[in-house]
Amino acid sequence: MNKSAIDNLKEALKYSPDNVPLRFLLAETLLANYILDEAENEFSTLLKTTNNDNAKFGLAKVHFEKANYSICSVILEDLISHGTNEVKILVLYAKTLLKENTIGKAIDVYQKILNMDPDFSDKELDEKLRIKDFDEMLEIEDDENELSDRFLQKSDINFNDVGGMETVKKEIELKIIKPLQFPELYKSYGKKTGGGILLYGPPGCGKTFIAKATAGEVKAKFISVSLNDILDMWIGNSEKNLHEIFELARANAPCVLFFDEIDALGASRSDMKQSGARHLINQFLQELDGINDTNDGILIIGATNTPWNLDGAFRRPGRFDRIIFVPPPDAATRQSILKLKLENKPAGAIDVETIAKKTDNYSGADIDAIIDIAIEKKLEDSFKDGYPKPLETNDLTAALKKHKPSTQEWFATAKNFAMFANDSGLYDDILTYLKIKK
Amino acid sequence: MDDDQLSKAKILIRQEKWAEAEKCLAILLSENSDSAYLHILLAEAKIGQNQLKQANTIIENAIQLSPDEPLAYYVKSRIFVLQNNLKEAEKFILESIRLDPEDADYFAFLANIQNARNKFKEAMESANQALELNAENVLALTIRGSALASLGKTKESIESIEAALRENPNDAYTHASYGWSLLENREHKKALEHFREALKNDPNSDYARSGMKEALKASNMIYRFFLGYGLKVSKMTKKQIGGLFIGIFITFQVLKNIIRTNQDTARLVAGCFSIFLILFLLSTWLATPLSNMLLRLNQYGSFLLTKEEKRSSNFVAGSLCVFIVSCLLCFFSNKFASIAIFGFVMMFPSSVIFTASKYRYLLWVCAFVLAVFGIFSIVEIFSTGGITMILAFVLSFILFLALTNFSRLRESNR
Ligand SMILES: Nc1ncnc2c1ncn2[C@@H]1O[C@H](COP(=O)(O)OP(=O)(O)OP(=O)(O)O)[C@@H](O)[C@H]1O
Ligand SMILES: [Mg+2]
Repeated sequence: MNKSAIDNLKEALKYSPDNVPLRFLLAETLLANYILDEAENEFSTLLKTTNNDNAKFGLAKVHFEKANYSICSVILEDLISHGTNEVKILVLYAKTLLKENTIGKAIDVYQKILNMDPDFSDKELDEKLRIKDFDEMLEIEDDENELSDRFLQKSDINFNDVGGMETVKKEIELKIIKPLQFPELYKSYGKKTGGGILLYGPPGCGKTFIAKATAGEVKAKFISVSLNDILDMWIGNSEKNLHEIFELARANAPCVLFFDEIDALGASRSDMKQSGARHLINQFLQELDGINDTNDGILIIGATNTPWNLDGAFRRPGRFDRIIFVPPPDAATRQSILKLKLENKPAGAIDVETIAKKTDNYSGADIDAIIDIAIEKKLEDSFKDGYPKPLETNDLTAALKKHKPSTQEWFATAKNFAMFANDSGLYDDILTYLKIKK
Repeated sequence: MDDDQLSKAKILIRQEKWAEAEKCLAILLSENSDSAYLHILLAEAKIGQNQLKQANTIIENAIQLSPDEPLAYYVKSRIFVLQNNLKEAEKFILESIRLDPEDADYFAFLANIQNARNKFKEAMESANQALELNAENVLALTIRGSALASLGKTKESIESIEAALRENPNDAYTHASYGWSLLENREHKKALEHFREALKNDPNSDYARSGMKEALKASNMIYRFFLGYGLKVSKMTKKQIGGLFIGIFITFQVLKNIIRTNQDTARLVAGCFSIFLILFLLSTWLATPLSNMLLRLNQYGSFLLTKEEKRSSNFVAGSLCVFIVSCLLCFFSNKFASIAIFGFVMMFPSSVIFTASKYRYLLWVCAFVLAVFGIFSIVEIFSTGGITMILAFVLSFILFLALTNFSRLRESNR
């Protein structure tokens, strides 16, 4: 069929927009002609009024062609779970799984197909799934498991575990959680939902912590890539590593893919010009842009203490175009952090407010440290006295003297960058925080 | 040795993640405690965190472990530079060069030190040697440019700087060094641009920040004059400064003799001239804190000043106010002249005690004694009208000036 046939169908639909078979025909025709966006529209329209399995399958085919494998597999799983066991559906499912690199599952499905139709043959599936000898298969499975074991976590905290930080939470809510929950709404307002967000700020103020809580908040899986993992990429087969991690994320969408100390992907500013120092960044950007694969349903969060060491290419639109400053906790936040941390500790009535007031410039990690110091002291005392006593306010005050705030040094440097290297207003948040007018 | 771990440590150092690098190196060192190379890397990480004393101990270890490792001496030399001990720094970089005469970086670093010690010709020669080994060495090109500028060869200097900027248009050190040469040439506007560029690329560079400060203040004509004078003096060798002192001394002797003669016009001219000369010499002390006061009116400028500089300008301003107010009060009673003198004199210690680095405590003690003398002399004048204390006060002031001059010379590191 050609273009005029499509036009004819569209014309006919104008007069009878509720004609289901006609719209179905149009959708199939569009798909056959690789006009994928329109085909997707038509199938979606159909699904609004009917609960037609064929329309669902059509939509799955569209997503397969668009390489949205994760969505495709979700639709197919839905169909299969409703008892539809047609061979064509299973075949598409097997192919999708293959694309998603979940070989083990693909083989299961392939076996099911062969059981239903012993004469079945498909070049791609046969090649990839039948010829594999058993050992090799196991090895692939192992690799995959090792990767998931290492990186895939279930986040056991959510925003309730994060004390205060209301502004940061609100921004994350608006900038990542909502787009993940309502992608269609964002699209309809012409808002892009891809890309990532970058958290920056002094050490120990909860960047890693809130990223993890974000995953818990959206009940998504959490893939965490640490500084050490990035270093491994530098010295090992980095291209494979990075690609595999992104693939793992795609296979587990929706999920939060978190890169801690993301600046480590690049060299220092002075090293940037050296060609070798850039390949990891370039590879990362390729994956981020989703040139070869789509990143639908993946929230990418990066965190860094030294945003100024981050390559400018990271901040282009569609990449880390949302940058959030995570400041040291304010008094109210410190108070709730203290309450949270003291919850399961043997503590008496502690005047959290006073301690919060005395811990200006202390980070969340500093507060951890203070409580640690206080508890150690208590332990020592309990050996002396022979019985344990609960933590009191003045134990914490005493500990304050032993641990000085660690954020000041960071601000000394950050201030200079905000004053002298702040061309695009990137560090305005720092200036605002320090109450420096430009 | 665990090669992966070592590579990681090196990457972390390149990325300036010093604390993490240190952890990584600690693991390596626990198994290879006799590796000089690991010690050198660890010293590097310590330098990055500005823990110079510890870095120094570690590099000493490295040198003991491997006395013919040129890199160790180079790192040691860098520590001395950071500690502002250029003489020792030069000794150690020469040792690196002796052990490895093929490394352009060592020669460039030597040139840098010589240039900072006002040995411009030698600096230029070392830079040339570096460039023979590697014509694209940015530091060597930069130092060559700076040395040439100080030798008055402006055109060649600019060529060298431009070559450096061609190699790396974002090199903060090159921009800053160029800025300083431009300041010397009284091109403060162009200097400002280069300092700005330097700070954009390395906002933490003290060298660029202090240059920026001077360039901003130089928009004031009077300050520009003092800056030009100050920069000239700072580029003089010890001999030249000695010459300058003797010159000033002889000038005063001549002026004194003229004043003693009977010719009225000559006396008048010589009198005015000597007052002018005295005022000028004294004002070289106050130019910096007073101009800093002006700089504080501008948010950006005020940000550039250190806490000490701000404090110093506060005290000088306070003393100046005391001086002016009591001068006015002299119309009522000339006893107030004593307070005026007190205010005037106290401007001088205020201008140095906060910012001097060597002999700082000695200067504090002297300033304190001076202040006590001053207060006693005021009390004496107002109660008995006697002037013995004020004489002692002025005398100790002159002593104080001499002492500070001496400490400044010692500090100048040549
Ligand atoms: N708002 C908060 N509520 C509860 N705990 C917090 C909060 N902020 C920080 N913390 C505590 O501080 C610790 C350190 O925080 P985290 O590791 O997230 O800091 P970071 O910003 O990632 O630091 P770094 O830059 O050093 O990686 C966390 O383990 C957490 O216990
Ligand atoms: Mg972290």
